[in-house]
Amino acid sequence: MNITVYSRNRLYETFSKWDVPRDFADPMANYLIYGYEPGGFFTSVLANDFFAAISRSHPSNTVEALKCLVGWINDCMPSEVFGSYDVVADWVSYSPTERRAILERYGLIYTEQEEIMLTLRSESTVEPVLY
Amino acid sequence: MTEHQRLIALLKGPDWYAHESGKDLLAVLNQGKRKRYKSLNSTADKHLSTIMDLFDKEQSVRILKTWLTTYSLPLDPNRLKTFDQLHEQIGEFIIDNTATIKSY
Repeated sequence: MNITVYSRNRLYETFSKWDVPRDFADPMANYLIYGYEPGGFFTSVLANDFFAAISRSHPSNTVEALKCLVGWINDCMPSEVFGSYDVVADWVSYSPTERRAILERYGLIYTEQEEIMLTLRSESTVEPVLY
Repeated sequence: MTEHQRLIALLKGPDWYAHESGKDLLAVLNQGKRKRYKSLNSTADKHLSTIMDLFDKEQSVRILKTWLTTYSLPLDPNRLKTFDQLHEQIGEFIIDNTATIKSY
């Protein structure tokens, strides 16, 4: 799935709102948009597996950053995307069209129609700052 | 569109067509009637069909960009009958080349 800078910034705005660090935001964005496997730690987080998540966590991950990520997941993430290992595997196997439809329904990205009009109007957009 | 008009549009090129159709749409918009938006959309549909028929992807984008930036036309894709066709023909091209189209 290819998205424009408008949709990308819209998605990253949600990370910015929850103060999710860039190290966490990029794998989540790649998982949502492209269906890339997010790695052992994030897969465990998305699968709601506390023990596996903590055991696979990098030493530099802080509790504060994790709390921000969990807040973002609860507030912004579509229910089709997290909850168990099966759900995560399903999301990765979805077609780009299916993923786009769900992300559009949850307002995480713009519709293709909106993206076309924003591009043609040359609307300005600012990349959100993540720490 | 007559064969003569078609030939003129092709000879004068996309820039000429962008400004002629842009002015035409502005004239419709400035009629001051309640139905002006309806007329605007039907006129835009007519021009969009012509554009997709006559010009290639890059030229079509150039014309649409002129409409929306130079003339600031309030086009609503939900009310345009030809927008689905446009989306099908050049939507992917626009989304793949957003940065270039946005900045030129």
